[in-house]
Amino acid sequence: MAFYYQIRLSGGAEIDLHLASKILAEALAVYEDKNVVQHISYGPEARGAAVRTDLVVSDQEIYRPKAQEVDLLVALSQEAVDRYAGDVNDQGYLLVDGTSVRRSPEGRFRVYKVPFLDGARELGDVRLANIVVLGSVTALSPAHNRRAVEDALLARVPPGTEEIHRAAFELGFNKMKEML
Amino acid sequence: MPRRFDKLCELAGEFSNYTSKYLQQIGAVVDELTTRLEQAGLRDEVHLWQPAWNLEREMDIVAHVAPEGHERIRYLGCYYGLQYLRMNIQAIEALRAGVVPGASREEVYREFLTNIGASYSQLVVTFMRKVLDALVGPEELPPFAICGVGTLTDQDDIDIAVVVADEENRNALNSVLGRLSSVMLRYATRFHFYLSENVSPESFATSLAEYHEYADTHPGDYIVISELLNAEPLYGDRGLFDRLQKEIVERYYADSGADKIYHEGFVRGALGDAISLATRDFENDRIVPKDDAIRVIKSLVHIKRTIHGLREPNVWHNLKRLADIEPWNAEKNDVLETGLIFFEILRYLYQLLVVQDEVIILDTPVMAENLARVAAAIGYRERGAVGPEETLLVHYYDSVDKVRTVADDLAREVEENLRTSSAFLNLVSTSPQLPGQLLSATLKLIRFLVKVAFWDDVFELLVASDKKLLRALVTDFNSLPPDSRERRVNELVGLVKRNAELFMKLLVLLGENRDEVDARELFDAMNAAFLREFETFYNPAREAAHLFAKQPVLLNRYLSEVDHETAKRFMELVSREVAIPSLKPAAASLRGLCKLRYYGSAYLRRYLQAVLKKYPDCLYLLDDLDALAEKSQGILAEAAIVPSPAGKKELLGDYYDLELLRIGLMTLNGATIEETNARYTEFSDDYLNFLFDACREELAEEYGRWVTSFDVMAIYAAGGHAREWAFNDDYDLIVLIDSEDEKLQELGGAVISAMSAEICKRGMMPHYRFLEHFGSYVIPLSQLEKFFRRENETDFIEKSQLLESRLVVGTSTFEEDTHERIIKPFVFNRADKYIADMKNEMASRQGAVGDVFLPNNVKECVGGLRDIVMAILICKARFGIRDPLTSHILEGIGRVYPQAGLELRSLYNSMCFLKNLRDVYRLAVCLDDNLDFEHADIVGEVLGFEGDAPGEKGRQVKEAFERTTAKVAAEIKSVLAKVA
Repeated sequence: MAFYYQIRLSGGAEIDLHLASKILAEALAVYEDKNVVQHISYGPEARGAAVRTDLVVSDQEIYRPKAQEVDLLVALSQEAVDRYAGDVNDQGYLLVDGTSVRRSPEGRFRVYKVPFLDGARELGDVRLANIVVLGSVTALSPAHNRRAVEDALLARVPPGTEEIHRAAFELGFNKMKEML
Repeated sequence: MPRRFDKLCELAGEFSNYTSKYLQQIGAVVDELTTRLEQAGLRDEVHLWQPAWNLEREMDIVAHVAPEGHERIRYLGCYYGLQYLRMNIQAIEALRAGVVPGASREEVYREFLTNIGASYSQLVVTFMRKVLDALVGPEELPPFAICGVGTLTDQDDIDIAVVVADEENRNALNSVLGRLSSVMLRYATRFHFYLSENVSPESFATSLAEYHEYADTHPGDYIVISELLNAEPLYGDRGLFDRLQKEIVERYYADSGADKIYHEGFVRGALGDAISLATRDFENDRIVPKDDAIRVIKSLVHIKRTIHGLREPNVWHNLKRLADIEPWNAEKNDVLETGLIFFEILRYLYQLLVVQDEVIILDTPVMAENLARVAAAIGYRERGAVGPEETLLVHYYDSVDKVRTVADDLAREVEENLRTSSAFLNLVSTSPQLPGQLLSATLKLIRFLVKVAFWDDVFELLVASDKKLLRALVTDFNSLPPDSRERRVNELVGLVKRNAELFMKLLVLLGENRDEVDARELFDAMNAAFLREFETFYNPAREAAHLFAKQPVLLNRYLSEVDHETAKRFMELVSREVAIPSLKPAAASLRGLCKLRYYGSAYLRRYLQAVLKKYPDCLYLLDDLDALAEKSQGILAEAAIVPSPAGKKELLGDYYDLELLRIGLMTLNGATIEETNARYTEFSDDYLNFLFDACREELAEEYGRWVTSFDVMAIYAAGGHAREWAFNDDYDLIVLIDSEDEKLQELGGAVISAMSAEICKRGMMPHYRFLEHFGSYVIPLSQLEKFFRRENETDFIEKSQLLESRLVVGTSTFEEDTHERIIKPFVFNRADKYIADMKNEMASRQGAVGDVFLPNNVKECVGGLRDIVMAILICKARFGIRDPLTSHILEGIGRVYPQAGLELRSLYNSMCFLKNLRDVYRLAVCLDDNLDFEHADIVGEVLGFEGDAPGEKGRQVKEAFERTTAKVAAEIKSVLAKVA
């Protein structure tokens, strides 16, 4: 049976989820030879409301760029949960930020509260929340291989900042593994 | 061979970590590729380690020697990586060699960008073609055209659009495009299908029909239109590309013969974007060349392209053309070109050497080091203690400022163009035949252009020629039957979600002119609809904060127009938390403004209006009292150094207004009465002192001499100001002079008269005690002595004024003199007479209260503030206390007469409650001492009473007021029985 996996990262514009999505895409395409398509939502939404970036992964051809039945949704804000939780399929996962999301949605999918923002704050920079997300998604996604994501991550960060990014990734990865 | 690969790794070592992607592909494939080329006898035909001579041919050979299928892509990817790295290594070397001291940096940058742009786009396009050749199999694909729609020098992504004639067989093509996209991501630069994401989200390829529909429904989507204007054919069916140009893109040019509304929509959208970017603030921790300047420049160039019909998309080419077409803008276009060269090279080098990101972070030492490498590569050198990155940043901000100044001028020119060509002009020139016709035509235009950001000229048009168009529209609306009116309003409501700013501007325009153009009903209906719709935003507080961040004055104008209930509703709407850090300050300021608009009485709002009129930036500070204090101190400092007395007086007035507003906000935020009084007195005394100086300086010239106040003249505050009570509606002053020099007395009077004129402007009436007795503002001490010697029956009133007076301008020597010559002999030494007079006065006042005074008058009722003041004056006279401050007086009495200590403390607390109640009532309801408890819910809210039912908090305030005044009356009786 064909492998088809759909990931959506969503949240406010203050956290660069597009970067996390690019890294996840490159980890698959560059380091693992999988077909992957990334769909980014810019426009007014990217100016403050729910930012969305979709990743469709397959070992076969991809006809549609936009994720529909999402297997893994990350939501860093309540608004992102409210808007996109309905797109998660029954077997899917919803990872929400532990502090900014207060109401968990109804659904048959599994929900985990992960301290994305607090974890990044502990590392001294809330902007690293996207990399904490990256770690957690890597821990959960059957499409991703940790080594490949780490390689793609390090290729995408400025020289001299590799360690702090690695630490953020590690934090997200371990938090997720502890919960599973 | 490995030696060459190692050498390549070494040379590419200075590039960003992203280079590892290419090196990995090369390392995995290059040996195999070399062997294959050698086996085929074609090794000499392909440049693996040098720049290609003929990319097309060399890639063909690489594809030819590769096995079928996926291996072919790997070989091509390896070759692409080699050429990509070699191209950049060479370009950087050439750049370094070029930017030697003495060389024209701009020329070197220009050459670099031209060369790298041409090489990179050729490399990408050739690679894409070869990959497509390899990917397209026997499947039947519809005709398609791939277009580049962005700048092909962007290394982060390549913006492309894929056009098909219709939607037939599109899935097969989507499959190929999906594979192509994966290949590009893996081996080259990822594709970004921005156009299809917006126009046909379910498909990579977009049909012409979909473009048609989008163009008709999104006329102001300037990002999509800008990409379309950039379109260049890269691959596929040229006929389809031509159709895209002819059927879709062409309509945006002014000279195309198409309906001009498309051109106008694009111009309005792009102009709004350019203005908004050109006026945004820098963030402290980052620079973003794309948003700070590049988009501004490109938007303006695109606008000019559509105005002048320049079909060629290349921005450099268009800047040159514009120099010919608009010779009057030659210098401005030069600034744009020079700026663009600088920002583009910075962006390119940053992405190549540091990280593929548009945002350049500045707040860590590591990032500073990274930026230093970029700066060095583009020719900035260390100068003493200043690093290359610092010089670069100075140049950066300077360049952004220059571009923005020019952008502002050019934007005005475009505005002028809109003023003479807009479709809205037809509304003024045509005469509608049927009721509602004008309204329908206007609504149609607004609906079509609703998403665009620039409307200034349309609003000007509405109010031009004595509001002709606005009046006509409102008349048209009013002429419709009620159900039609409701329908029109509901049609308009759809705008709120699509462009809340536009809707609010319309509301403000209607509100501000409602009486003049008979738009009261329309305004009320639209406002109700607006609030209903605004409430349905996911987070109305965030939307409002967005609006406020962009248009603070607009929000203030809106809140000035709405009624109290609307202000309350809006305040509730914006009370939700806003999570976006960059919006938090705006959200907080907006909450502060709403609070002021809702809680603020007309008295307080008068100061708000005065402040915002001159200092609109204060809108951002309403929630930050420290920042407001800093601002007002800045104004006071400026007043001190401004040379002209008139300028000083104006600034002092501003200082007073701002400080009163600040202390008002502080009080509404729950500050203690002591804090409110202290801060109020501090600024009010400063104001009076500085004002006195400015006025005597002004009059010194006229009179040829100075009032030397420090020796002979003093200003005393009397009444509330003397007791250091805040928020008085008048300013009781006593001006004394210790000189018989008539000229000096005249000069002193002139100074006080000039001060009075200024104090009146602050909305307070200055009252001069003794004026009625002496007929002059300035009273000589000698005459005052004579006055009291006469022992007038009612002089206890004047004595009271003096007894509670407080020196504001003057010296302690003068004060001692006044004490010895007036207070001591006529008040303290005759305390029994004074106390008896005061007690009689209190008794007769209380006897008359039922007839004369209103029971709810916080000042005059039995047990009200006046009774407390009189009791305190009696105590002052009894114990010889000159200190004006109530708390000090009561403490002083408590010390010398502990028997009354308990009552005095309780009296003080009661006074604080009543005074606070009076202050809050003045700030939140109106400047009146008669308390109307039916409107006191808001006062109760500020004072911390609870209860949801309407009238509940007001009822509690009333009960507390009655309780306190009854208690005060009893306490005064008890205190006076003991003391007097």
